[in-house]
Amino acid sequence: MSHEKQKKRPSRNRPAGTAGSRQAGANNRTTRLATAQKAQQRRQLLSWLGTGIVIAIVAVATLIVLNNRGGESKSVAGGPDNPATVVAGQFIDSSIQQTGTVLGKPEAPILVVEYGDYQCPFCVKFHRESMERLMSEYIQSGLIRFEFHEYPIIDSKDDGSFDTNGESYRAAEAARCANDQGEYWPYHNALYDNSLGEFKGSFTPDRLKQIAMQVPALNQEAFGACVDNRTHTATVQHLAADAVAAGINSTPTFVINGRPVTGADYGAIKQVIEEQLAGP
Amino acid sequence: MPVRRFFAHADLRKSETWTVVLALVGIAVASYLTAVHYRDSLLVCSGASDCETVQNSSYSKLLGIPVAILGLAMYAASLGLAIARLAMVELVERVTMLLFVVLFAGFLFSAYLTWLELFVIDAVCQWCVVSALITTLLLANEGSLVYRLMYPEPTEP
Repeated sequence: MSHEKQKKRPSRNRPAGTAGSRQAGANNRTTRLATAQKAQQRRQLLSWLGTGIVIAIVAVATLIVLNNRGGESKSVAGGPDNPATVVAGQFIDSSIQQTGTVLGKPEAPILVVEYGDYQCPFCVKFHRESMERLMSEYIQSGLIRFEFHEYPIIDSKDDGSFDTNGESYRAAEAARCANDQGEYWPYHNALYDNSLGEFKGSFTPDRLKQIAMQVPALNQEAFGACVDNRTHTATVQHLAADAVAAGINSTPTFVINGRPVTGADYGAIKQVIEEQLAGP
Repeated sequence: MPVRRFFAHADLRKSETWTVVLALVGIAVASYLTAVHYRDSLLVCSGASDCETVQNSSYSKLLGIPVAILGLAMYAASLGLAIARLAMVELVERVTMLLFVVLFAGFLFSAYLTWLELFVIDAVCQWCVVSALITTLLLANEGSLVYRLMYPEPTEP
């Protein structure tokens, strides 16, 4: 269209001096006409552009508003998101036997080992949404023993080593400090219930001690010393190495009598437990 | 005539071809991000990178559609339009305007997503940043095409 017209018009820079005066006048008229056409075309393009830009801005603003409205409620870690707040951990029924890092009757036929990271949002999701159900359906009735195996995968580095000062690593150490005092599970639950997500300052040494205050049975002084002296750095190193050796490459992974199930999907875990209960 | 037109517009053609190339790169990056989004929907943490945090965040979906797929759709539309423009010279103005507007919307949205990464989610996904940069380059390229359509350079004698 206008592109075509534009091509037909003579060039503005064509040297006019060699042509006769009549032709020069004709050229002048054509140039004026072309200039007017060009201005008209520019106005047309500008109006399209303006309309388009306004539509684009309105569309994006609408999308952002819709996104924000849906955003908050979808959060995985529905708990408190302020590092200054510390909440009490999930309560464990006193009828459930606690032996170190194992929950449930020692003679239960099925062993479930969870490889987990205290910062991992999906481990948190499992803890908050499914742990209670697992306890009431299987642990309480003595069908399974549930062991937690710390695996600070979020603090793993590209070269396969672990950042021993990372939050997942420090939280794992602290959990083992609580275990030294026989208070592993209450502290473990408090850690998950105070996990704010990855790299959010959930498990600084100070906050680890604040979380410990939610477990009154803990000797706070001994706990604090254990955390500060890095008593369990090597313990966590071994736990991490064991997880790597077992071929675990994501958290949470549940190993149910030797069969691994990855992800925080209660249905998938339940299915394997049922298969194991039904026997070979 | 089409051959002469082609040479008369050689410079514009170069920029128009750049749009095709950049759109293809954008499609590759957005496809990767889409794959990451679905892989991470397996509800696991693999300690891979901040991309996981970003892609798992509540902002990674818009009305149930992963934003990576929205990006993919935008790049695919850009590619389609850019190819149509190369094939049909008579549509060059309309298509250029449409492309500019589509990319402008994409640029605004990716600026918003980058802002979210920096100040709300507090984690930066490097491939999301690459995608934002590609969108910016595409917009700049189309911007220069729009400018050259409005103010064509006078032909040299």
